[in-house]
Amino acid sequence: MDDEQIISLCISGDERALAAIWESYGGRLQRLAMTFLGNASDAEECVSETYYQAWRAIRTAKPAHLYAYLAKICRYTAFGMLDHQRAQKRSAELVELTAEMEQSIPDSLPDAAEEHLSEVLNHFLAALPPEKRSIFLRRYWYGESIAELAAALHCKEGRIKTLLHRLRKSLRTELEKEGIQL
Amino acid sequence: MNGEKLLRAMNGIDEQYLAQALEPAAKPKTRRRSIVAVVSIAAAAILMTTAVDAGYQLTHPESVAHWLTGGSGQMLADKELVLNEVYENAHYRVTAETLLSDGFMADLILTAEPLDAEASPEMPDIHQSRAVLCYTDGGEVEGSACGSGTTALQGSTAKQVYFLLDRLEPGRPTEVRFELYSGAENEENPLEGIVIPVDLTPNVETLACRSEEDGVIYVSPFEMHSDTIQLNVPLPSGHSDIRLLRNNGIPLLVDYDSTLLHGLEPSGGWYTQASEGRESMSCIEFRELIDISDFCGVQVGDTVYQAQ
Repeated sequence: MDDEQIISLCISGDERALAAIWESYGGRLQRLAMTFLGNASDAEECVSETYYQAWRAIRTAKPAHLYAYLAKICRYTAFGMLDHQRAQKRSAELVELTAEMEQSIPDSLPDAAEEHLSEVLNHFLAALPPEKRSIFLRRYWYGESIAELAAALHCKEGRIKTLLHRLRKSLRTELEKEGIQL
Repeated sequence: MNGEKLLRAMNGIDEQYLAQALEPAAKPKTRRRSIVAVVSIAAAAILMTTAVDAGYQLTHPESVAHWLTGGSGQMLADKELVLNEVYENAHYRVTAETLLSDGFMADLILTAEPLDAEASPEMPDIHQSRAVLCYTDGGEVEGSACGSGTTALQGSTAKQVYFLLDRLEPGRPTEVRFELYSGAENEENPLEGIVIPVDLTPNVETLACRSEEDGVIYVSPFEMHSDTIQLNVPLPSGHSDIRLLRNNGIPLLVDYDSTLLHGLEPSGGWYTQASEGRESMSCIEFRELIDISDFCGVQVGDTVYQAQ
């Protein structure tokens, strides 16, 4: 079943849509949730919540790309769950991603609202060539590993690491230019 | 926690970028097939000619001027560095305008243009067909795609492809191929079959400039680099401390301020930290070619690097 058919089923209230989403994207969503939450049961809960939220919202806002839409809900949900688990240990993947992103953070600059930060990130991404944008997002939005990216793009891990290093440096420059501190 | 805040803020990223980012991952095999198609068709169908009557004049001087400003085009002609090599498939022609190699980096400028009415009035752009530098004996040259760019000139159907390649292996034969951009599964590759051999044997001189403390900076007509000091690329708002010392005693300030009477504008620069057996390296690329026989050294801050 393709994305259009799944979305149509959702809009018409047909529960077969949930099974189709699970079949098409369940594994990827579970893995995405695991990246941020670090354990399978929390990830399962996050993905279930994603299905529920998507089921409710998709009728009023038809997504252009189903997986990106689901992943966005999944990511929001995962961060929401993290807020309730502050005392617990964060996942190893999240710690790794967080450490990498901290290299993009300038020193001694004023604090930034999350909305403004999102605007700056969108501006930064808009200026990137599609290939670089894709690599940046697949690493820091979808949480893919360096090895996965290298395999998918048919290049060496070293090239991915170098490219990500340069992208983080560029992002740091962009944040500094906007006077942002986190 | 600051990095996490940045990751959280990424929740607000435009959904179209998120969708585009998934395309290569969703269809990795498509890309491999298209490369195979390029190679096989290249063997059978490619016409390569050299425009003998063009001499040392550029076929598309506007393409070169787009990337290398000032008197660069004339300098290429004077130094006999104009290639004028033409490669075609049924609908498109690609002209290799010039190839500069100093053994460390290379500048390659290509122009693609439609040949007939069947070709799209809009030239393919990098979203659809990207130029990739590959080793002739297999494998993509690491980092080559990162340095490529495609652009259209106003009022022209021609497009330019520009490669800036670093850390070359001059002894290993390479070629430019055009492949469909990842994810463009249902598109035809308009530049399919066009393969351009690239000889990275150095064809321009490099000046090695050394300080008393044994720091070394290399300067070629189109870039300067060093593996012993970090060349800080001056930002538009900052002040440059890098000067190329000329034989006539008037230094050339390497600075983004294009209004300087004695200035040289960079087109970019980078610094990579040492890793995985590689030395650290920094580089500044020039927007205009220089004649290195006019120069006798480099000054960075108070340190002078004399040409050897």
